Amino acid sequence: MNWLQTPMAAALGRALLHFVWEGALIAALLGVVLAALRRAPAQARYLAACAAMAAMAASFAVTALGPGAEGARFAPVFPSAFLLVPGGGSASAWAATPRPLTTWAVAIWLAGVIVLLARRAGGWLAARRMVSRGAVAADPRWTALLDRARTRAGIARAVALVESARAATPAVIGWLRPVILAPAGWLLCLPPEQAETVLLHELAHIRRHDYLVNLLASAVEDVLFYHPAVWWVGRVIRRERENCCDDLVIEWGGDRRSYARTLASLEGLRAGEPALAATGGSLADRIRRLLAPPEGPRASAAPLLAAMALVCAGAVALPAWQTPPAPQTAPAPISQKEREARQEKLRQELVTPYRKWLNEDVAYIIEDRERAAFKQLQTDEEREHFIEQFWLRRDPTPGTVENEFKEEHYRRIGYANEHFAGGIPGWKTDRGRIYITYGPPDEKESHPSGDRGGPPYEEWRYRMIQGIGKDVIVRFVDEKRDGTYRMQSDPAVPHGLVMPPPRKPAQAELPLPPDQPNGDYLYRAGEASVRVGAGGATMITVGATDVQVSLTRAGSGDVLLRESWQLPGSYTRLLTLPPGSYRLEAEVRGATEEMRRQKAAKVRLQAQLEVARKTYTGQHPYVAAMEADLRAMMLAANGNAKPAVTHIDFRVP
Amino acid sequence: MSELPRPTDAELEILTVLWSRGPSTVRAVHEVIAQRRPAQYTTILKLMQIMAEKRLVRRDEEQRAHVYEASRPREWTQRQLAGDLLDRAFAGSAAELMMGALAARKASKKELADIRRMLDQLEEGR
Repeated sequence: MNWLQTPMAAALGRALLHFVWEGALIAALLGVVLAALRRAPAQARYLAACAAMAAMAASFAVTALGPGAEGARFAPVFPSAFLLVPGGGSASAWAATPRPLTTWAVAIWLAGVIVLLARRAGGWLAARRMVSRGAVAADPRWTALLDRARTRAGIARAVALVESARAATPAVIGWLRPVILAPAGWLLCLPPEQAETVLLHELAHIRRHDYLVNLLASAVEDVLFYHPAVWWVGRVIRRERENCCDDLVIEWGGDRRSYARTLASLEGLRAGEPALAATGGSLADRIRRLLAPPEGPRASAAPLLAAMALVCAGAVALPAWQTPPAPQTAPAPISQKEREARQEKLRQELVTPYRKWLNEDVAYIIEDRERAAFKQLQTDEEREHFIEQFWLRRDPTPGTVENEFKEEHYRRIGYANEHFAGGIPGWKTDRGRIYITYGPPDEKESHPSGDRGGPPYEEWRYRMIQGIGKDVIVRFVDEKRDGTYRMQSDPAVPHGLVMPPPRKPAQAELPLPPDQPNGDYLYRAGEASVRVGAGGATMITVGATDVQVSLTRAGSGDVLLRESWQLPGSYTRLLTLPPGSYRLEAEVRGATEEMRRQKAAKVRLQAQLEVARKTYTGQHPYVAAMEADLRAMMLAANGNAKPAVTHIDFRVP
Repeated sequence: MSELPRPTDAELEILTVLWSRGPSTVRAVHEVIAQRRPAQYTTILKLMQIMAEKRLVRRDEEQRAHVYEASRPREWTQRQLAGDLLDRAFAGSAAELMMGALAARKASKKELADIRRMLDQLEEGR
């Protein structure tokens, strides 16, 4: 209690009281600045809020330690003569008067600060411990995605990535050596682009040094915990920080709508308890902002105004660690009407791109069943997802960014439009249809003068068309001699040339294997196994290091999944499948456990044979037996050398 | 299913590997754990055998190398999984310091409904 009587304590008490109006003043200034910056990028508002927080810290510190703190008369930093308090007199005079209330205020404040700082320190320790204990090295697929994300984000230094069962959502911990903490097992369930989006968001936090800024801001909030203005500024900082990171993710090559959808579906994915402290604005607000950005890139004088106002207030601005916002030129300001007209046009285009996609882009390659399914979709989200899956099913290399099938398809459309057009667009003509569906012919013969005065024609020869046959010849004839070539089918080729190959009849339902103890059904063949659980939760495992896996729906042959895996450890994939029959094909190209064991056994046997040959002279039966064993092993090994394809037919009830 | 005992720290680490990589052999689990701290294969093996007896993991003995699998999915809540007193007491404060893609607080039902409506409105136009 004695310390509370010292002049230092008195100075603290006065500073605490002075801060009541100092904080209010800074908050009011920030409010004005934020209103002026409403249309500016989020980075501007974030910096303004950080500067306000720094100004609050600085003003409190200077007030507490400044000149005259020990004297009875106190000259406040801020000109506050114009701030009046009820009962007359200026605020600064009110705060400068020593009163018994002051010592109590200091005592309570001190107790509060100690508790809060202790809690903060405990939290900091707990966060570090989440990384050092109980976290495991991340799945190599995660680290591969992280490398790709780092390239997109332009971050050169290494970032550690670990998985932990204690993490409810992915998060960044640490500043000097940041670690991204991911919930264990998320990668098995997330599509790669969603996982990469999450990593991009975390990398945005790392690039902006948000962990450190947050730590400092939290320290200020703990010290000045009693002032609502401080809480408000803290909220603004947190909200705008998330907005800045969202903006960075978009800048690094994201699409607004699919990023918004990714955030929404990530929220749906996580389990865990509610009611932990929030670190950012509400998700609904962020998504609203992503879908209809209220900000425009208009330059304005407001940032200059903000800087001047805060400099006047004596702010000690934090050095600008944050990356500067992307330089934006100011377009001529568009009128409100023009802006609305543009938005209306955009809205209308939202519906027609899907019609165009269905009826023009993929008209020749989409199956009836897929078309019917697409027509039943209600929302753009579902349509986008369908389109993604549509191309993914046809991607010959789903592990890479490029989709060679899609690129080739659009190349063909372009080629057809360029070369076969005439009255109607190239893709609609017979030649265009054949070209897009089956690709460029292996041989093309063109007869512009026809046969002995007949109409001009072209003959395309395909050496092989899947589902139709070998040596298919298609003839296009320009009967009207006006450039419109119509297809004449070769009598050898069935008339249904342009229809999709006949569908295989639906297979009879497979019988279910016996139940496992927990109700799952387990199928196994060779190194591959499929476990089907409740609700269609399916787990596919292949115990080998170099596999190619494909999952198709029985009967229609739709490819649902095609992946390659060439990393240590076995391949695992979790999915949810609707009821039906499926076939899993796993081509094992690398060494399986069994093969490695046999190889090790063979090496051991060879070593023993060497020793035996030196020990026993002549043709000892022992040596002969070992040689025979070795020969048998070699034969067996050669049999294993070619890639083994196992398939499992299974059913989801 | 009866309530399973709370796993110890070492057991939680092994469970995390199984949740992260799926069903694995002891060797695979040991490889992953050894990437971050020195660990003996025999220690991991012993732990996993004990966990199998405690029914925290299931053992599949059909292959020559036994394949272990976590017996429960990862949706144990933080409270069940939290480590010692320090971690549990300061979980909230720790969450305030970590920078995440999603807020540490789960979205409320109303928020989820709002989000659903916004994504639906993309189709109709506003």
